[in-house]
Amino acid sequence: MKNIIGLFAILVAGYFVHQWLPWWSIAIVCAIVCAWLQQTAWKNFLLGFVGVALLWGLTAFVINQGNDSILAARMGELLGGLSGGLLVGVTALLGGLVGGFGGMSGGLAGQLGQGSPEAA
Amino acid sequence: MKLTKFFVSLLTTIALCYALNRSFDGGSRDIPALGKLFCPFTGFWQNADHTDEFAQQTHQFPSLSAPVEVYFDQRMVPHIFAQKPLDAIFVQGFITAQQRLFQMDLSTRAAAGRVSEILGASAVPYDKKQRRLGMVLAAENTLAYWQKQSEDYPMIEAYVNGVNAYIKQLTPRDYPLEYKLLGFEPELWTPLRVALLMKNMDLTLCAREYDMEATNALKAFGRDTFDFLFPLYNPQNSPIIPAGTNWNFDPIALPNDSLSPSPALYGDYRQRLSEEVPNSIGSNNWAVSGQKTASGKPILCNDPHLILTLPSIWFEVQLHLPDFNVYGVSLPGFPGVTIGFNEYIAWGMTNVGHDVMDWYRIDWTDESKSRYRYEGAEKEVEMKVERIRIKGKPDVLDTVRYTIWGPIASDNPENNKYDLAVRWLPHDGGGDEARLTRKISMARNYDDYRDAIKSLRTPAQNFLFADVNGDIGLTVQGQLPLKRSEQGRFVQDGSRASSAWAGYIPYDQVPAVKNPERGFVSSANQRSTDDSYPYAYHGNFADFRGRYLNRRLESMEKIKVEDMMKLQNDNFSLKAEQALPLLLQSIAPDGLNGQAKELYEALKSWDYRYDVDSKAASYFDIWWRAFYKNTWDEMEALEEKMGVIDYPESWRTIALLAEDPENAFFDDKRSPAVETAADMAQQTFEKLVEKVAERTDKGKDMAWGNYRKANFGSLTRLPAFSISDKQVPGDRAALNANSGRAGPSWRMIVEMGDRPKGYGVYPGGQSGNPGSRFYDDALDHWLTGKYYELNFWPSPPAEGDESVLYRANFQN
Repeated sequence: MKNIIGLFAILVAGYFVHQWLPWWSIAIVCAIVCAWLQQTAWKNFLLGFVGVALLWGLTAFVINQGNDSILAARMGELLGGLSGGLLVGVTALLGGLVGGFGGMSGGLAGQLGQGSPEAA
Repeated sequence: MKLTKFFVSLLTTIALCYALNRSFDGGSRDIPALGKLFCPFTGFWQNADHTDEFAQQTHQFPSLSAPVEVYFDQRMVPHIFAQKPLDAIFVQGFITAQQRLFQMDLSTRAAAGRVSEILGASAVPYDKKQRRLGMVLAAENTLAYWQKQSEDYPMIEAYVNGVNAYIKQLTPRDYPLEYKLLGFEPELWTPLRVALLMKNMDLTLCAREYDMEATNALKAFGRDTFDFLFPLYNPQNSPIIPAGTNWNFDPIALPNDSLSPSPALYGDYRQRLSEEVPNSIGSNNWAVSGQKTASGKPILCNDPHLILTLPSIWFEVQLHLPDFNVYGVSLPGFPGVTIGFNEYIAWGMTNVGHDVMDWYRIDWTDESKSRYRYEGAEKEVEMKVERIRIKGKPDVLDTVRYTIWGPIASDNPENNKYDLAVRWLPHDGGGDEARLTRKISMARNYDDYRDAIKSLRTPAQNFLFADVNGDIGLTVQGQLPLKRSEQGRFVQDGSRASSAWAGYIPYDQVPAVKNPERGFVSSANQRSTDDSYPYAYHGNFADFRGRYLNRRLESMEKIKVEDMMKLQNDNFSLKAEQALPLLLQSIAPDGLNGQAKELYEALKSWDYRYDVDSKAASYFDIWWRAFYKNTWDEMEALEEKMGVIDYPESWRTIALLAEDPENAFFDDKRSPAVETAADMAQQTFEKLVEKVAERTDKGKDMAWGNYRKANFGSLTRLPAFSISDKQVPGDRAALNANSGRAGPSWRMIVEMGDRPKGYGVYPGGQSGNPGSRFYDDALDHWLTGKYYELNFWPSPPAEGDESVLYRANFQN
């Protein structure tokens, strides 16, 4: 349940943050959500990773569908011969990494001065 | 422990974000900030336009005097319906920037020598050249003239304001893709940028000259041989103004003496200033009168041959106002329609080759090159320090010296005795392109047309006209310097005031023709007149297309639009028709076998058409190049020694081959035997056989379309945004003048009638965005010689009209 709420929070807050703030603000969103949820470091990483990978990957996927992969084909060639689909994957992966590390850092920050969630 | 874990995780996050938020030096090209680039809310994904959903746009600008409605048709051509011309121009600026901002930015940055700011140190030599040529000075002079003299300067301002209205509402996520990749931001547009765009066209069109090359050739060969190799007139020329036309004016008297150089003016001249402009830059245009058409009304055709880039140099647009309605192509960055038609007239242009760029030798009187000899005294140069900003590196300073002739644009740091200054007409400013554009758009007859084109000074154009009344005409319009015989053909004496141009040919004396008896007017960059024209001129003129075009037009009757389409796409080469039989007669077919026999037969039965499936076209191309190169091996040797030298033209080479096959130039000086043209033809035929065998052994096809592939290069020079290896018919000596890099950049045909009916196509698409389907959607149409019927709407399309893709509404 916690994870579903967390995922939902990252998707919604991330979507809004991306409308106005620099791209890396998504790391802070994940950090805040994970600090609030109080889970283990790896669960936080996974939550941040999946959250942002979904947010970025799905957005890229939808845009790419509407665009018939015209730009993805050209950008893929520019980046050394990636296919359009793979480019969506790379987008998800990059976002996932940023979200994962952001989430993990936030979770760890939340635990400073408290016991670990397992002990609690 | 918890603290350590936290810090490790935090540092990793920060390092990751930092690394993804900055660009890296990737050698030849920077690697952009990947996080920024991939984030689908701000990065490149935002430039992936939906292919078939288009949002209606609504904008509000209080500066508009009335609302403006824009309808984009299915090819995304904007049709701008406005009440006031300046409103229409404002919206044109907005819409053009929306589709082509990066192109507008790059072309004018390049003109100003500011490419290093965005591309880094590799562009410094290019920027230096632009600064030394005085491009910014030329643009500043042009702008000053507009501001002082032009009633139509408000048009420039309205356009700039429209572009800026677009730029101001951009957030980084909306930036064109190229800005995201190169990591820079659009800057606000200025009237100077508009002037720079005009100067960029001048650089493309009226900066071709061979002064240093000709001077070196004269020095090497002496007068008699020089005249033999480089005659000014081709006796077979078919001039633009029909031969035998009477010149009904009293020409301005000029001193009789020729200004050919004395040996004292020879020197070590080896620096070419500008980038080589491909030879296939040129154009065709013609108009046939009603007496030659099926409909009884004139048909006007134009296809300017320019470098084929993506996005294309042109942007289609319709401007509809209460008192005029005009359709055509515009140059992104300049208001109005450049080539097009309205309800009454149509117009088109080809380039005029008159030489307006001359070099003057400057003899320095001091080591530091600050003073030079002039009229028996010493004159001081003006030093201008140019600061070139470079991305990621300290600025570079470059001093440009200005003489009374112009900037020192060719200098030799090793030599402090002399350098060359350039006198280039576009430095003067003086053209009123805004007035030209407004007047021609509103013109209703021949007199209006003649009045409009007065404002065109540079680049001189063969300005073509046809109207619904049935008149056709053509004017060699531009500021044409009054020159004495050979003045400016060679490097000139910069120490004498008398070396200056005497003025300009008066407007009513420039070559022009209206409704000639032959029933057509035409131009294809050949010489403007026969040699009866009272003023001396020389320059860069083409031969074969003009002669072939006139031959075809003379023979055509009951012409329909389809015939004109075929003629624009005609791949026939007059050069091949003249040269090939002469080459073939030296080959004894009986002695040939195998592949040699096959090649011979293919060439023998060739129809001289550069069709994509023609193998003979490739064979002739290889053979002629080898023959030309071997014939002029003397030039190659001299070129190595002297740096630059003129090469005889193709028509001259063909004439020698026909009339003087034993001339010593055909002899290969490296061999003991004495060769004739026939020997040269045989030797190079053997080379052809070898080369073809080599290619076919590798499994490569010899069909012209596969042998000579065409590229449509992105302005970014990124192969991923370019389209390459396309089969393209034609050759630069054919009307379909495709060289692989340059070619017909806009094919337009306008049939006059109660209302003009236009057809057109250009290689590319309306969008400059590589993420749009309109980036290259017209390319295949263009490649196969097809045309679009142009939507010249007399009134706004009705609600729900299917030819409308989407609308943009501009409220005041």
